[in-house]
Order: sequence, then structure tokens, then C-alpha cells
Amino acid sequence: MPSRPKVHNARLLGPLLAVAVGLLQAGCIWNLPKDLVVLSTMDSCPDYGMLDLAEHASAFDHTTSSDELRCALHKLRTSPIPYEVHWTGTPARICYLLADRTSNPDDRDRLATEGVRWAEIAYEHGSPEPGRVQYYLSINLGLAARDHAALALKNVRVLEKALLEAVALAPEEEQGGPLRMLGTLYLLAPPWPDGIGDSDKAMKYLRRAVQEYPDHPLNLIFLALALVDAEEEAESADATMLLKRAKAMIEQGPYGDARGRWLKELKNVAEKGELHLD
Amino acid sequence: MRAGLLAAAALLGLWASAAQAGPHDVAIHVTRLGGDTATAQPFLDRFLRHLEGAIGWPASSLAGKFLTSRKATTGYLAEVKPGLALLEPPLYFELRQQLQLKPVLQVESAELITPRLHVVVKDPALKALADLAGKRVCSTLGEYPRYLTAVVLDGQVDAAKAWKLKPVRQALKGVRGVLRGECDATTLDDSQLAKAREMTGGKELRSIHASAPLPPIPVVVLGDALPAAERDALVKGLLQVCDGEKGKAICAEMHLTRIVPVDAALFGAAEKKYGG
Repeated sequence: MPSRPKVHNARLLGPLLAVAVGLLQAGCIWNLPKDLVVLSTMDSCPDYGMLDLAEHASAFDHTTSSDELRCALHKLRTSPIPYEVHWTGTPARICYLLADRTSNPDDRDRLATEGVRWAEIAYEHGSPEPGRVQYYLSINLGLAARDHAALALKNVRVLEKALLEAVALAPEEEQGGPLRMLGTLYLLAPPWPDGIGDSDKAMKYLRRAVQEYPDHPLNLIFLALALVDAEEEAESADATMLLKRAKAMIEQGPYGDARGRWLKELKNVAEKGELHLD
Repeated sequence: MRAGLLAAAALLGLWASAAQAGPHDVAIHVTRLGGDTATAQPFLDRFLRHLEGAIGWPASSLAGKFLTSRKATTGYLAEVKPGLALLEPPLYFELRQQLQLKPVLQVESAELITPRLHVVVKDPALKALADLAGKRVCSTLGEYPRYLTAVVLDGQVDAAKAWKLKPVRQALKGVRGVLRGECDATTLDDSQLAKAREMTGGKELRSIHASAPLPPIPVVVLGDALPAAERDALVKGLLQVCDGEKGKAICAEMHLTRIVPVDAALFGAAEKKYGG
């Protein structure tokens, strides 16, 4: 009699393992979106453990190579044990760093959507860094909704709520990222009373971002955009000064692949305000 | 991309000069949509691709630009000379004669248009338009005193001369100005006034003047650069562009309910008030 269950177990083990491996490969262990971006050339990834990854990933930024980011994301997707790293904003940040530099809109949407899900997972599990998680949820949601007005409109209140929490708990993330993003949301959203657009609130958060985190070029660029939007002569002088400072920072700073995108953003603001930076 | 379109257009024999700047460009200046030129572009592109499909024109034979300010819009209209434009009514009236603008259609939208405007005050001593002489009026129409005077105020007061008119980009700024005592009056539509009354201190806000019904956002053709056959095709296409599931979704992205024939009586009445 004892042998029969063993036979059954042996018969079941294969399919169960196959299902488990399949789930891991698909990222389903974390209930991630089904349509994940396929990460190529994973064979050459370093074989580091999750704790190494956690330490390593804390230094990831716009200068980190895409290969390194992809390897880290692959590790996170296929890790069977819920290590602490999953409950931080790190997986969502990696998705954002990849999505932000991806020119293919479909891949960008899918990476950003995955980032939203990672942030949700972290939040659901009581992340020790809720403000940071909310920021990366917001920034990924913003990227995913960039070309989809319906999605953007549907989520605008969600974004506002998440960013208000991020501003309260982790304003320092990405040197004022939550302040910068909330200010820009108020600047560009449809105006009151149908939308949350509010130029006064935009100015308040963007000014605070520049005052508290003056070394991030995007803080200067988006405040310049708000000033240009105000369309007052005195404001355009300030906007010119901000853009000149931002330009110098971008050209000299360690911004890796973000440099080109930020200079393009800067150029758009200068063109909108008819500002001369030379 | 445009070179490829030219080849396609030539093959189809529909366009002699497809995708050139000018008559096949569309300018959109709508202030209550939010966003800016860059963020609005994907939505505008989707709208135009759908429109081209509806009228059987080659993809990307139309190009569009979303413009957020009066200055940028007037500059674009003068430089590019687009064939078609959706313009905020005050700017339409300002440029109507200079650019030979002809309204051919109008926009239906709960969010984008202003059916009528109130002059709103908080101070109980202000009871009529005449009481605002020398007072600070903060208005989204601050850049358009002639439209404000002639069409909104029906000529009862010359806003530019009688008031200290301060332009504001958003209605909310005007409301806050009145509530804080920084402005004596502002201009709001019905839904804005209702919402403003829900704000702290807002119950004291009241209208001392309500305008007659105002013209909505017109779809205009500029001069006669767009050949009549193409203009007619565009008008026909625009009338149907928000139909069907796909059209409805694409129009909703831009807060458009439908595009409908122009209300000639409404525009005629406003044109008469505005003058030549």
C-alpha cells in the first residue's frame, strides 16, 4: 500500500514542476500582467542572488545599461521566493527606467504596466516604503497612459491620490520626483471644474521641487513650463534663467540615456515660450 | 514618412500636393482640454487618422497641431495657413475678417464649450455691471475685451475702459481671486458657478449679469486655400467622425461629443454684436 501513493506522487511531480516552471517563466508567480515584454539575451546575465540584486539595484539610474536593467527584471520575474526586494519600489523603478528609454510605444506600455503591477504588489504586501512605491506606481501609470487619453482620464484621480501620498512620505525620491510629477499633473490636466487642472497648485509644487531639489534638471524645466504657461513677461525671464541652468546641468551631469529626452523636453518649453537660450 | 505618403497619394490619384504644410493642416485651439502641444499630439493624430479613414483620404494626408495660447495660435495661423481650424469663439471673432474665417461646423461637448457666461461677484455692494466701474475683473476673456464687451456684456459696459481687466488662464484662478478679495469680479459659466459655490466662502458668490447664449467652438475654413471639393469632403467626414464605437472613443479622448452643422442664427447674432 505505501508504494501506490509514491507512484501517484511521482506521476504528479512532473506536471506540477512543469506548471511551476511555466508560472515562474511567465512571471505569473507574482500575478504580473500576461503580456510581458520578452527580455532577450538573459543567458549572459550575472548569477547574483536576490540580496545582491537588492543592493545592486539601489544604485540603478538613467546611466545603468539596459542589459543590466533587463537582467534584474528577469531575476525579479522568475524569483520563486518573496524576498524583501519585492515589497520595495525597486521592481517598479526598474520597469520605469526601462519604459522611459523605450521608443517602441507597445513595449513602453507593457513595461510601464508591469511596473504598475509591481508597485501594487508591494503596496498590497505592506511595503516598508509606501511613499516610494506610490511614486513609482504613478510614474509608471503616467507612462502607460501617455498615449491613451481614456486611460489617463480614468486614472487621473488615482494618480493625484498616489502622488499626494508620495509627496507626503517620500518627496526626496528622484530628487523631488513626487513634487515634480504632481505639479506637472496639475499643470497639464483638464482644468476645473471638469478636471483637476490647477495652475496655482502646479506652481506651488513645482516651486517647492526647485527650492528643495535644485539639482534635478527636470524640476527646473517643468517650473519653466509653468511660468511660460502663466504668460507674463516677468515670468518668461525667470523661465529663461531656469532653462539655461537646466541645460548646463544636463550637458554636464551623469544623466546617461535621459540626456537626449530631457534636452528635447527643454527645447519644447523654450519653443513654447519663445525663449532664447543662447 | 511624408515622402512615402506622397507616393501613396500619387498612386491613388487623390492628392496633387498631399501632406504639404498649409491647406491640409488643422489647427486646434481649445483652452479647456488641458495638456499641451506635445502631450496632445498622439490624440490629435489618432483623430486625424480616423477622419482620413472616414473620408477615404490617404493616411497622414492631414497634419494637426494643438495650440494652447492665443499667441501661439495666431502665430501658427499666420505662418502655416492651415485649411481648417477649431478655435475658441473669442479668437475666431478677432481673426474672422483678417484671415477670412468661415464657420462650417461647430463642436458639441459638455466640457469644452461655454454656453453662457455670468459676471460673478462676492461683495454685496456690487449689484449691477455699472457698479464694477474702476474695479478689478479677473477673466479668462481678459485677452479679449472686445468679445467680452460686445458679445458677453451685450455692449452694456466697455470692459477695457470701465474695468481693470486682468486676464487669467483658468476660471479657477478668477474664482480664487474673488474669494480672496484680490479681484472684484470674474466670469464663469453655469457649471463653474455651481462648483464655485461649493468652495469655502463660495456661497456668497452670485451673478450680476448673465449673457445671452454664446456661440460654441466653430470649425472654420481659412480663406479659399482648401479647394471646395476637399472642403466639402472634410465637412462630410467631420459630421460622421464621432459616429460608431471607434469614432465615439476617439472623439471622447478629445472631449468631443459630436461635430454638427453650424448654428448660423447663433453665430449671426454674435457677429452682429461683435461688428466688423
